Amino acid sequence: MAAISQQKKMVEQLRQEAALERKPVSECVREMLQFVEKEKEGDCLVTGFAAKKDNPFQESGGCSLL
Amino acid sequence: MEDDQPCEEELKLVAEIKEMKARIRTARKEAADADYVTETENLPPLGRLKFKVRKELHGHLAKLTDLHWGKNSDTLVTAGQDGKLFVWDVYKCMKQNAVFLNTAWVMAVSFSPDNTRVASGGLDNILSIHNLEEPEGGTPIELSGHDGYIASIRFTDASHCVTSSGDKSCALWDLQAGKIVHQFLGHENDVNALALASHSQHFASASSDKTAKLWDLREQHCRATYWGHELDVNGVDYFPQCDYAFATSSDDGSCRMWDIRADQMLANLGDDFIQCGSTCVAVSRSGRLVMAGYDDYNCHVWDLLLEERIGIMLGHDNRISCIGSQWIAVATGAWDNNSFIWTAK
Repeated sequence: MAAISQQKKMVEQLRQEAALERKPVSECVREMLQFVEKEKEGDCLVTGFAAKKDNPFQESGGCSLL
Repeated sequence: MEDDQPCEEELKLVAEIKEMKARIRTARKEAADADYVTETENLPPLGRLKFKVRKELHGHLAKLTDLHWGKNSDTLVTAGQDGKLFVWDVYKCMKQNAVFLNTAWVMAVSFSPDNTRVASGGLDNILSIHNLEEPEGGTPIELSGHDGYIASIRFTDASHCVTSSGDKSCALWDLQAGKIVHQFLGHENDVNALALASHSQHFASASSDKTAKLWDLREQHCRATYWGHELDVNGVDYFPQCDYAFATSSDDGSCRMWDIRADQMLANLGDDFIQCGSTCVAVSRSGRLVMAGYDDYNCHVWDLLLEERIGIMLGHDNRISCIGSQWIAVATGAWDNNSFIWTAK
């Protein structure tokens, strides 16, 4: 009988999931593309760094006088 | 009445479940008025990206299982099966803090929003909260509630956490009351990972039942279930800031991106070159890149929009177990006991 109450809950849950309002894929993709383009400059994994010294993780190279 | 014979009511419910799933599939198809590949194919490609290890964080004496970036992206907390949590200053490559856990089998770690505490959990089934302002984390607050291992933890605010567990549930904890205040039930197998939307109003979970689920934190129920992966789903990360999409990674070797508003998968990142499962995934800050760790000791970098593999992160000597991305760098942890910080170029 535990199985039946579980299945009843599953039916109810699926009913709610089926009733979701869905946005057309075309609109979703368009907005996503706009977002990605807008944020591109700040994403250093995509655009890299303008100069090596802009990268705070860059190892400072060269020699130093001791 | 025999227990092992399905009765009429059960048969009716099974049929209803099947019908509801078909209804969802149809509704998703109806929303698919465009094809993702076609909509994105004219974008200029990014070309090959070169990721380089910039910092090596050595200190754990056993496999790393989880990591989490601090709020200013200058600290990182790592968890290892040596039973330790280390908080690293990632620029100086030094440990700021160390917590010695009561259990070696830690699987999950997370900073609190203000970074004064870290939460950990694992095979002990206990959610532990450590105070970083006390030496070695102080005496941990240990909270029971899960009946299985804790796989993932995130703070939704200063006094609440969500966790995902091997007991097939996710849970919302009130840390002041010291207990679970809501259990999110629905997954049919271990819940391996969770990701929190930036405004903490919803979270996504990844499960060995091959699905991802979206959970509403305010109304405390499951909003949607995403089918498609062919094996266990191990990793999940939100599309940044806007929170209307998230990426998952799976033992089936693919990463997928799911749009919450369209309620369906948009991108499927996989190719014949990759012959092993993916353990973890992170989305870059603009949403353009998906970086995923795999069983083959590498992380691969995907262009999410063009669905192409455009980079490889070579450096670890064993399976990648955890990954986290921020604006300028990616952190990875692996079974080679190390964590690396990478930048592109």
